[in-house]
This record gives sequence, C-alpha cells and structure tokens, in this order.
Amino acid sequence: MQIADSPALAGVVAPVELDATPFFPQEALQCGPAALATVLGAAGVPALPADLVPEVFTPGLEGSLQPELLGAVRRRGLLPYEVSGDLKSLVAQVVAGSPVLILQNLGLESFPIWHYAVVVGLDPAANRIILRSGGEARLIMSARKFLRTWERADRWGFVVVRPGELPAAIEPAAYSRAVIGLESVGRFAEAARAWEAGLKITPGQPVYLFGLGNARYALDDLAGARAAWEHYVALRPEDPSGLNNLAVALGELGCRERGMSLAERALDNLPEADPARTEISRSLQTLRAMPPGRDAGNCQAPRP
Amino acid sequence: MRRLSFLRSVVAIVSLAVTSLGFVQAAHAGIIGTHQAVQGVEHAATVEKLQTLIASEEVSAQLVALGVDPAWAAERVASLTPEELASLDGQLEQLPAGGSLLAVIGIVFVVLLILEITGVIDIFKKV
Repeated sequence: MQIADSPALAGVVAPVELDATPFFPQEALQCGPAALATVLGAAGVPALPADLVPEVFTPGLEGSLQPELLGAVRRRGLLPYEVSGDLKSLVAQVVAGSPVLILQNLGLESFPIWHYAVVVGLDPAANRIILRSGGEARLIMSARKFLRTWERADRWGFVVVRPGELPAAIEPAAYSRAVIGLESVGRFAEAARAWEAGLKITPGQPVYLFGLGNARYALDDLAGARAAWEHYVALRPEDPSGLNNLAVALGELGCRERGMSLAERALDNLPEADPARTEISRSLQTLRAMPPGRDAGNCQAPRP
Repeated sequence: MRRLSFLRSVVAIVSLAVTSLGFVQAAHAGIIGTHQAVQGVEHAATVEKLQTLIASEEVSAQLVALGVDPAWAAERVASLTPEELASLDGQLEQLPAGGSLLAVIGIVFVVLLILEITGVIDIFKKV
C-alpha cells in the first residue's frame, strides 16, 4: 500500500513533517520511555525519558509493555487514542499534527525484536515515513518496510490527545474505549471533558451520553448526570443500564416516584438470570426506602 | 469465569483498602459503569470489580518479580483498564515488550544477517 493512497493525503502535495516534535536519543533498552517522552512532549506535557523509566520499563522483560505506555498517558490525565490496525488513521493523525507512537517488530514472527518509535513525517511522493527512532532523530524508512515491521506488531499505535480536543479521523468505538479507560482509572473530570468534546461533533452518540452521565455523577454533578442520562434514555428507552442510572440520579434529586418506575422498567427488560438484576434490584430497594412523597414538577422527562 | 478462592478474595479485599484506590471509583452505589454498559452488562459489577482487583494484585506481584519497584508497581497497575489487566495477568513474558536493538544485537544480528543474505528477509536494505 502506498501512503499516498490515504485520503488524508489527498491535496497534501508537500511532505508533512512535524519538526517541533521533541527528540530523545534512546539509551540502552529504553525505547519505550524515549518514544513516550516524545509524544507527551508533542502534546504539551513535557517529560524526560529517565523519569519515565520507573513508570513503564520492566527490567526483567528488558522492555516496556504496550498497556503500560497507555497507563502512563492516563496517569497524566491525557487520553491515549489507539490507531491500531489502520494506516489511514495513522496518516490522518500525522497530517493533523499529532505524532504517532508505534510498535514495530524489527525481527521475525518467530524471533521478534520489539521496538517503539514515533512517526513524525510522511513523504507521499517518495513513499517514505520519517520516524524518531532509537538514536536517530530522523530515520527515513520506505513505507513498504515500515508497513512490514508495523504489520508484524499487529499495527499497534496511539496518539496522545488532551481531553477536550479530538483525534483526527475519530472513530466512535475507539474514542469510547479510550475515554472509558480514563473513567476506569478514576480520571472523571478529564473523562467528562472528553465526552463533551465528542458530543460536540456527534450529538446524541449514545455511549458518549452514557459515559458523560457517569463522569458527572462521579463528580457529584447530579443535575448534569441526569441531563446526560435523560438524553440517553430518550434515545434508548428500554436499555436497562441507562434506566438504572437515571433512576438512581432521580432518586437522589427527590424524584422517587419516577425513579422507581424507571428501575421497575429496567428489571422488566432483563432476563431472569442476568447478573445486572442484582444491582438494579438494589437500586429499586434504595428508592423504595426513601421517604415517600409526590415528585415535584421538574421530575418528568424533559421535552425533546 | 475465574473461580475465586476464599483466600484470594480476602487478599483482594485487603488490597482494596491498601492499594488500588483507582479501581473503587465505580463503586458509587447503584451506578452501572460505562465499561460495564458497553460490555452489555455481562457481569455484575461486584464480580467484575473483584476480578479486576485480583488481576491488579497479581500483575503488580508479577511486575515486582520482574524487577519493578513495588511502590511503582502498585501505581502502574492502577492506571490500567480491566481489559488490560486481564490481558497482562500471567502473560507478561509472552507479550511484546518494546526494548531496542542494542542489547540483543549479538546473536540476533548474526541470525538476521544470514536470513538477509539468503533472501528470506530484507530488513537491512537501504531505503
């Protein structure tokens, strides 16, 4: 495949090169820390490879594991957006100004030599890729050779995105996965910003809405959480997870009656053996145990 | 599904208090996490949280055995998602760990050179 085939390069006549991307010559086995420092620096969060060694390097493996690079990005409240498997996405990121940290297998399937490098440039006319790699600030590699080594590493790579900004050529499934990663490590403020940014370009994306509700709820923004889940439930009126979460938020906002009816509807929609029954039943019990009283007028679903 | 022995559960629950603060956020009463919802609510959140805690405890121990500073090991696993932890657990030495060319250059280089010369591969070719 030619890199010039990529749609992101259409109209890009001149070579693209992200000159401002920092360069850290690799020391010993530290291509992980060096490549990570490169993409963090490019995202405006400077770090030195030596400081990243205890975070991502594993001495007994003489290298760094892929998930640990992603984890180090999350630890800084940033979003690691994976472009795995997709040359077009990789190209689109570079064209949009984001260097891509990639894994290569420079050896063989049966005798792998794993290596991290950062794609910082493309030369469509010459079909070449420019990398920060090892000791080289500008390693120029033919696209063919690059693809072969990337292919042998399952075409893995990611860019660092600041929450609130969006990656180029955004795929909702990949973006959701990245933001859920922030949620699962407890970075709720950043997750909320990332969901909101996604909703700006894809209003009504159900996973974004659901996630935004969760992030806001975790941040004690009950009204905001309710608004996101109301929107979600309006789109997916029978989804038990959405009904449950909205019911919980409504209960805490003094809307016990409507909360109970939503939780009951969630249970009606679940098969007898579904493990989520336990949680939803618990939500319903909590709502029932609240002091009875009529819901206020603002408890109804907002008009669309 | 992984079977949870009593002892491991105890270990996990104790470790909950000690280390893995990053994983207890979703424990807000009654709320179903986005991860769980996207998975189609396959498992109860409590089971998933317990599995994640055990995996984080195990991966952390495996990292320490591989020379990672124990304080950092706890910090590192706290930044991984449940899927990532599950993928690492027990697999650390089989998974790609990007290092470099430099350390392995001896024997590997010779092997590759032979393969290169015999035309099996062509990684040394100048672009």
